[in-house]
Amino acid sequence: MKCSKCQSDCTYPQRSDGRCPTCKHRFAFEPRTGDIISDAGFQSALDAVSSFGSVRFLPDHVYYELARRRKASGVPRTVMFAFSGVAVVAAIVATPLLLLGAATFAGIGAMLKPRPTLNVERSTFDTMWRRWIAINGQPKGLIVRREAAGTPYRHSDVQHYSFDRAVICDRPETVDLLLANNFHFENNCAVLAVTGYPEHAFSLVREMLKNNPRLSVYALHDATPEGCGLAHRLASDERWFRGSARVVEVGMRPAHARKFKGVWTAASGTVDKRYVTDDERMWLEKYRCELAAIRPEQVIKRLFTAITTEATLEQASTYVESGGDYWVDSYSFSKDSQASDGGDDSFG
Amino acid sequence: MAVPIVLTPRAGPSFARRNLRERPAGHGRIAGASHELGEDAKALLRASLGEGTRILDAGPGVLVADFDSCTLDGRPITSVLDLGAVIREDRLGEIEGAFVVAWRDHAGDLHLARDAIGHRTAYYALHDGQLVFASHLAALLDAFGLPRRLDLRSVAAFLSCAYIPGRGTMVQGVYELLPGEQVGMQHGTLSRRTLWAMPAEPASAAATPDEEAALRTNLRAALERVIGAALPDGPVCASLSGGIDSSLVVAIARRLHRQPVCTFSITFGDQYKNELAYSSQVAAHTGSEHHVVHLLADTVIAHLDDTIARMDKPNGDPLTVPNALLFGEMSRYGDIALNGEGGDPSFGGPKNLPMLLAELYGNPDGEQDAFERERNFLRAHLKCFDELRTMLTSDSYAEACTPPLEQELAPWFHDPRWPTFVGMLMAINVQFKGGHHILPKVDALAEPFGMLPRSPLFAKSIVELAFAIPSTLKLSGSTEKYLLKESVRDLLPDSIVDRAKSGMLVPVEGWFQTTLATQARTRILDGLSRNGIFRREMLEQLLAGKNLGLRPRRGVKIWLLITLEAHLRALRIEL
Repeated sequence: MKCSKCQSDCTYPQRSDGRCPTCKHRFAFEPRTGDIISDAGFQSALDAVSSFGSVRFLPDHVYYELARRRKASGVPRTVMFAFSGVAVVAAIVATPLLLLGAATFAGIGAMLKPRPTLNVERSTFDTMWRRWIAINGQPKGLIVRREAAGTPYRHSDVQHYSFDRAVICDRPETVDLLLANNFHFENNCAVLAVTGYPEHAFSLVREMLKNNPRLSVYALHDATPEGCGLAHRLASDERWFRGSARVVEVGMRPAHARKFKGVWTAASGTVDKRYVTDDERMWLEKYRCELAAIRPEQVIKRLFTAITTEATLEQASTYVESGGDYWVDSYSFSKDSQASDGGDDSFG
Repeated sequence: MAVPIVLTPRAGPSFARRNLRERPAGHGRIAGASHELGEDAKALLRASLGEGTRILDAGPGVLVADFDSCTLDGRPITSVLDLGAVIREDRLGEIEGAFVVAWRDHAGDLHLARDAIGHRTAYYALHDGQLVFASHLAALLDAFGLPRRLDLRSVAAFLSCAYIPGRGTMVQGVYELLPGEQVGMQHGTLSRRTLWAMPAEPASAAATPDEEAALRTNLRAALERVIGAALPDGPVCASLSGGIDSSLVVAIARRLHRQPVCTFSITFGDQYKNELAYSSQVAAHTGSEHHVVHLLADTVIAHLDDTIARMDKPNGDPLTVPNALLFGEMSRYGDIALNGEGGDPSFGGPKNLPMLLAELYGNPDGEQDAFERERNFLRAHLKCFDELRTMLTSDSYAEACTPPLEQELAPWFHDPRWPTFVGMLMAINVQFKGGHHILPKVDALAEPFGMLPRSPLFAKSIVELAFAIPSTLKLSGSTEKYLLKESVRDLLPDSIVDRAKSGMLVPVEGWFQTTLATQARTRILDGLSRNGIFRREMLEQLLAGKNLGLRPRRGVKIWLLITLEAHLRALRIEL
């Protein structure tokens, strides 16, 4: 097993004291005694969610990354089916007795049908997370939720201005992700959670947004019943932007979530049929999928694509019956963004 | 739409060290020293600055100046005698127009002064106990044999902003006059004095409808006055991007001028996003004689070294070479080139809103930080401020960033003259982007082609008027440059007045992936990385485009680095 600090390899007996024999760094995990991942594997997950230290992230992103890796590291059913195929060929060439083996592999493969929902308990991850931090310290780029604090604005004119764009999220964690990665600053875009977060700026920013009759609002959310209703709420609620802004749905819909099978969670709550299609309703009645299941770099790049792409917008009424008052961008979150999708960097 | 003139990378005379055409008589550069210069030094200065250079003689009361379109109390200043009279009255700071002047007082002591906003500039150093100066840094280094030691702090500032704010240059111990500053040498001691300071803004951010109407009328009258004053007797040239600033200058010039107004726009080819539709619309609307210049990647890179060699402080804006080549084309039509520079910093242009958002949300980590606002200002340039620590070697970083760059900005952010957020940013931007960036750039790039650039929106009277406008009339809701737009609405189509700012696009990202990839590698890895300032692996990572994070801006950063390499090479600056 590799040490995450000095990268040297060691055998199980060599690390019997729980430390790297080369640098004496303590291991956080020991797969031989039941941990689901090694230190090097955990570090690799951190590298993946932080895009090698260039993107900030939340513990949730690491949780989903581990779940994704665990799902991938199990014996894939395709391997079983492959063994079964080989046995059939061997049976034809050698002896029909091998057909028994082929049947066995096929049976195991059938039983290995992947779970659609998370295969790592949150409590297990939380314990691992605490242990990792105790030994290795807080990972670089980790977003730590700050206490809400009233910021004294020294300048008298701040409240008079407005912005052309706002991203409204269904949960504070998504706001944290965007702010910590300077999305607001780089894209000239206000960011709020519909729950009233961040507290210290929420009321002022929401009022400032109402100073702009040409405001564009982007609803960013999980694939949940509440998330799928967010755009409708923003477009119809007078406390938000009813009649005063163009609202665009850009979040994760069940169609996008289907690509993340294995990191869904079980559904809870009821589904309001007004904001979803029949197909979406059937999925949402069983599952939900958080935006944190997508790596942070991809979330931000996809969102950038969404706020800069107009051509793919369609009226919501194309999708759902009562959605004529907002727009749907079903394109931006449907595919991975490329390296250059962080924005046109050819500005002179 | 005008048929584009395609500029190919043809072999032509270099303009790195000599002018292809001289400016009109009376617009030569200046140089001198606190002591009497020998003939050798004078010859070197003339060789570098041109035969028309005015060199300060010995003896009390002498004066040399490089000035253009100057007035005081509405009266034109047409000779150095006029300037001498203004100096005796101690009213240099009140002059409207472009000048840099050097004189000896009655005791024979040397003084240098630069105009309020910074349309002209000069460089100086203390050498063997004497003050030496010249209009251009290269001339100063050549003529006086000054040491060419690299100033790492200026490297860090350049990488952060794409220009060097303040009086520093890339050469240790050599400085630029600040806008509105007088520098003198008396009894062996250097003294600095402020001739003009930016005025305070109104205490109230808002205005009544009557106040707004009056301000709009005043602004329109002021724009017509300064643009009218910038017009020559013959044809006038003007750059026209299709944005509100250059469009309003062209529209007013066209209205006031009886001679042809020749406008010029740039394209890099139809495959790249451009603003030709807007500039052509303005040209058609105003009736200007419009020219479109098509620049190829090879053409731009072929003229990079010449262009950078003409700049005293490096400018990492990819538009520098296109700007220079545009002056070259303009020189076939006239001597005076108008531009719309100045509208953004003075009237609430872009960059205010991102700073405002950062102010509203605060530090995402919630930590108390005395310089967060200053850091955001540097970040807002969208260059390499946040990557300095990883780009530079640890020794270079320690020398360049101790104390931190942002610390120097703090006085601007705490000046009680500007109680509003937008007013505070306006003050910083007028000084930094005007006096340290745009104005010296256009002056330097126009010179080899014999052009005189004039930037009426950076006129001192316009800047002063802009400070008197309440901030909510500059940034109204999310509408940038609100009052400026309203003051010229009758002159331009609504589609021009109401369009969002997009910025001039130079497709450097695409170029560095294709046509210019080898050039970039050679200049950066064989040139820049040799001096040991940068971590080579980071330069390789940038060139390869790997792990560059959310907003790579690879093309812009590569351009920044090749500009730096060309500048250090042109001036033979060493670590």
